[in-house]
Amino acid sequence: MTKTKVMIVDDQFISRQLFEMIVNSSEAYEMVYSVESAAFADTFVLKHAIDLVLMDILMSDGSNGLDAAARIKKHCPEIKIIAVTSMPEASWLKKARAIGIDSFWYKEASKESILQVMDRTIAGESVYPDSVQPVKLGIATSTEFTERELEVLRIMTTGVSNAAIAKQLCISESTVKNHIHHMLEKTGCESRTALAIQARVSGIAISLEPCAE
Amino acid sequence: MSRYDTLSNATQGFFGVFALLLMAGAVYLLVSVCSMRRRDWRLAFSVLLTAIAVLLLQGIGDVSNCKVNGFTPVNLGKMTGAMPYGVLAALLTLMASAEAALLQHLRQQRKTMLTSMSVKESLDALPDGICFFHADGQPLLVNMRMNRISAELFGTTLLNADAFLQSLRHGEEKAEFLRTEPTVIVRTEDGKVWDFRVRTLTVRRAAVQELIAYDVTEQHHLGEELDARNAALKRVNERLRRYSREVERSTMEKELLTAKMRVHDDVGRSLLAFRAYLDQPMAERNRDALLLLWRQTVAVLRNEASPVRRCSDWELLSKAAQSVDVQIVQDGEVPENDRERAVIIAAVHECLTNTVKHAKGNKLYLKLCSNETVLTATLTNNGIPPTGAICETGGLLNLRNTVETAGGTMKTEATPRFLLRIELPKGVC
Repeated sequence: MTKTKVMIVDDQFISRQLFEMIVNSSEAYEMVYSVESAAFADTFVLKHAIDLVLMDILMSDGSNGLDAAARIKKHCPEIKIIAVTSMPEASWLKKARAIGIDSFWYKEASKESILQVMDRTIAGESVYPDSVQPVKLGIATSTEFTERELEVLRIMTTGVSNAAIAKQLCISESTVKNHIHHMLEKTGCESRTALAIQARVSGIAISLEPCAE
Repeated sequence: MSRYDTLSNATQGFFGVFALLLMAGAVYLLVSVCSMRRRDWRLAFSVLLTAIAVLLLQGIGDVSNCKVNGFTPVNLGKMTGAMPYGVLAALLTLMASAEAALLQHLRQQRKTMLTSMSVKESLDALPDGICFFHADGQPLLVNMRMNRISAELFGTTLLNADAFLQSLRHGEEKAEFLRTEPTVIVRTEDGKVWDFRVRTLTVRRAAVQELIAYDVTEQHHLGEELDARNAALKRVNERLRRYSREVERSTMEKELLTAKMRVHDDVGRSLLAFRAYLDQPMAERNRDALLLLWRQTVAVLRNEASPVRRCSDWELLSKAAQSVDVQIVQDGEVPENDRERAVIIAAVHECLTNTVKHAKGNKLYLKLCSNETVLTATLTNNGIPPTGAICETGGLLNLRNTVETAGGTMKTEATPRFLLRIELPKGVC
C-alpha cells in the first residue's frame, strides 16, 4: 500500500513532535518533512511529492500558515492541506476556504482527532468546523460582534491609530470611532486599549499582518 | 412789475446776500462731487449751478456798485438791472431749490458708497492685522491691529513692511517664534498667536502686497491639545504593540502547555496499556505494539527535556534550498538590518522557486555588495535561461512591491540568463 506523504509545518517543537508521532504511528502515512516555519514551506513541496500538509496558522517568526498554504496551492494545487490552530479567530475559517485549504482543525476544540480529519481529507472530503467556538470578551460573547467590528478590532490590536484603521478599511475616521464605541458598550471595557488587549488575549481578533511601526 | 435796479438799497442788499449764499452753496456742492469722485451728470450739474451763481452774484454786485457810485451799469449789470425783480427772485429761489435737491441727493449717495474713511474704519474694526504696501515696503494702508502687533513685537508702529517682514523672518525679537516656514507664526507677550501671510494683489494693473496677521490663538491651542493627545495615543499604541508581541509569546506558551498535557495523557495511556499488557496472559501479550508506544512517549519526553534552538531565517531558507537540491552560492554578507534582510531573503526565496520550477537549475548565485548609501543584490542561476521577456506576475510582482515599498528598485533581465538586481537605499529601510 502506498503511504500518504505528509509535511508538518508548526513552529512549536512539542506540537510538531505530537504530529510526527501521530503520523509515524499510522501505517497509512509517511512523514517527509517537519519544518518549523511557514516562511519557506512552499519551497519544500516543489521537488518531492507531498500529498498532505498539516499547516499551523500562527507562527512566532512573523510568517503565517494561510499565506504559505496559498503559495503551495498556487504551485501544486493537488496537494491537500489541513490548517490547524488553537485560536478562535473567525476570519481564518473564511480565508482558509477562499485560499482552497481542504480542511480546518482546531487543536483544542475539535471533536474529531487529527488522524480522522487527515483520513477524511485524503478521501476527498473537506472537513471544516460548523462554526467558531464562542469566546467571552468582557461581558459580551464573540458572536455579538459584526464582521466590520471584528475587522476594526483586528487592526486595532496591531496598535495603529483610528486614522490608519480608517485608511486600511476605506471608511471614515468617525465610522471607526463609532465601531469602537459600540464594542466598548458591548464588552463593558473601559478603554480601547483594554478592549484590544482582551481581544488579542482571547484570540478572536488576530492580525496576521506585521505590527505597524 | 418794477425793475430790479429801482429797488431800495436795503432790498438789493438782501438779494446780494442771498446770491452770495447760493454761490457758497454751489461751490460746496462742486467740491463734494469732486471728493466723491463722481465724474458724471452730478459734476456737470454742480458746475452749471456754480456758473449761474457766479453770474447772478456778479450781475447783482454790478447793479449795487453802479448805484452807489453813480455809474451807468453795462453788460451783465445792465441786464440784471433791467430784469423784473420778481423774475430775479424766482431765479434765485429756483437756484436754491436745485442746490438743496443736489445736496440731498449727495447725502443719500454717501450712505450707500464706501469712502476711504469708511474703509479705514472697517479695517480698524477687524480682529486681524492687515497692511497693504508697495513693492518697496512703503505702507498704503495699515489697520490699528497691525500697528499694535508691530508695537508689541518691535516697539514701533509699522513704518516699512519690508523691514517688518525681515525682522519677522529672522525672529530677532523677544516674542516666541513658533514657526518661520512656510509662514511665520508668533506668540506675543499677551498670549495671542499670529500667523503672518503675504500675498500679491493686482489693483488697477499695479501690484500691491497684502500682509495679514491672522489671529490663530484658538486654533494653536487646539493644535497643541491635539499634539498632546496624539503623543499620548502614540505611547498607548506603542504599549499595545509591545503587548501584542508579548501575547503572541504567551499564546505560544499556552499551546506548548496544551501539548505537554497531551504528552502527559499519552504517558498515562502508555501506563494503562502497560497495565493491560500485564493483565493479559503471557501468550497473548503484544510486546511490539507496547514497545512502539513507549518509544514514542520517551522520545517526545527526551526531546522536550533538551532545549531546542530556533533556526534563523537564513538557516530556514538554506534548509528549504537543500530540500530541493539547490545550492545557494553566496558572495557577500547578508545584511543585519531587519528590513534590508527581509527584502533580500524574500528575493532569494522567489529566485529559489523560479530556479526549481522554471530554470530547472541546482545553483542559485547571490552577490551582495554595498557602499555607504546603497545595498545591491544580484541573483542569477545555472539553469535554463528564460525563452522570452520576463513577465512579472505573482511572486516577482509581489517582490517588486516589497522592494519598492522599502524605497528600492528592482530590475530583471532574461538574457544571456535570468538576472535579478535589487538596489536598496541604506539607512532608509
